[in-house]
Amino acid sequence: MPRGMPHGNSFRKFGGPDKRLHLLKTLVNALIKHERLETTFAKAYETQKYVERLIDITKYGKSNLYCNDMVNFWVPEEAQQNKLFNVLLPRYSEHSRKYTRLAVLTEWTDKDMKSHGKMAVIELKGNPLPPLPVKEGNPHTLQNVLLAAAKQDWDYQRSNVKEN
Amino acid sequence: MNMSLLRVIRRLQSSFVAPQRPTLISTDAEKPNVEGREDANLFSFEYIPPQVQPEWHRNKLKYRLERMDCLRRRQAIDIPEFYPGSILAVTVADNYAPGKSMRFAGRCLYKDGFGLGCKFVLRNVIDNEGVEKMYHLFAPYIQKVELLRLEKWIDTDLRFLRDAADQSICEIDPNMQAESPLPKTEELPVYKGKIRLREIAMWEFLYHKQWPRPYNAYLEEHFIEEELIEREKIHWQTQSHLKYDICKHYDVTKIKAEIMDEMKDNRHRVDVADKKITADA
Repeated sequence: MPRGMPHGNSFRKFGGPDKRLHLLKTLVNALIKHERLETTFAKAYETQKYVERLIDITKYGKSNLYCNDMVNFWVPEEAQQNKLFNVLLPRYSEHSRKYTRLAVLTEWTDKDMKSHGKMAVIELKGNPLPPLPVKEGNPHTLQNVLLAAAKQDWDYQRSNVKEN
Repeated sequence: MNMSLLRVIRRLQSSFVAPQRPTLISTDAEKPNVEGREDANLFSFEYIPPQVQPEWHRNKLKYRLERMDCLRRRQAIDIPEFYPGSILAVTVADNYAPGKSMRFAGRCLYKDGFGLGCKFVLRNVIDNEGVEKMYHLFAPYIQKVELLRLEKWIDTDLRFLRDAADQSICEIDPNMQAESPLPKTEELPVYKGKIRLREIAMWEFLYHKQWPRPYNAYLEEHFIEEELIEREKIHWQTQSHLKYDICKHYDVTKIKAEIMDEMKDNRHRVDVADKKITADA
């Protein structure tokens, strides 16, 4: 969350509305092309929102007027558009929640590098690159064991209800 | 009485078979309502929750309770379906008016708000003086809402009619007869006429230049099409961030289906809450 939320606006400013859109457009295109980006935390957080919203829009299909309009603005290159529709859309057709993963990098403790600020890595899930060394939770703690069992029960119940 | 006559009457009575009444079944009930004009108990413009960012700030229970209250009010009074541009007459309870109620007729300029806070504004021109009145759709002091003419315009915000050159658009006779609206099984034709605005000074509010541009209003009739296109392009370039900012757009396509499913259950929930039936029924 950005520092304070003026008038319920949960977005950052990034130097003006036009500059902000242009910046996010380049970041979104770069993410679609390379599938993993290292930027500041603020930029990564905002691109996460826009990429996920863009993929939700593409799920309406190419024939939808709104979808066509937005995709032509956000992904103007032909190659990236084809990648969006032919590679990313089938990959995320069954994904329920998020399509991206945001990992925060450690801050520089060196005085010379202190101007860097908080850096982060944003990547699309299911990418072919080697996995990020993200520290997953310990599955053997009591809470995680109970949660896993509860999740199993929930899935079993739901599948039963669906069959019935 | 004569015995033979009695016998004849009895025979006629026994052989008399009443003809079957012709059953008049109208097939209108089988036709479903057109997609934009559903039954108000299932879906209406004011049931859509307001856009809240971020999304987890939304309280869905609050929205559901408010929609239940709207259902309760719709039981008490008949609120017709109308759009900005249609002509209405509203009778309101007033303690200090003769007859304890006051009637105002006008053209609806805009409809805004969610749930019980849904407001609409009626405009009428009386004796060359423009008069506007705002009403809350679900206010308890409203006694009657009559639909005089059902019109649907392309714009939903018709405040530019305040600056129209020809003010007779909003001049509505209070004794106007109500015109029967099209049934809900047919699609309502949209009014695409363009209204000319009077010459507005630069420091006044320029309705014809606000974003999004109004369709039903224009200021100049352009002879040179290219000049108009150039001006539009320059203005559009400064406003494109509103059109293409996808995270700020409000996607309502899935919300409508959810609301309609919910309102079918709300009938039952309202009756249980009002203790008309038990929860087991």
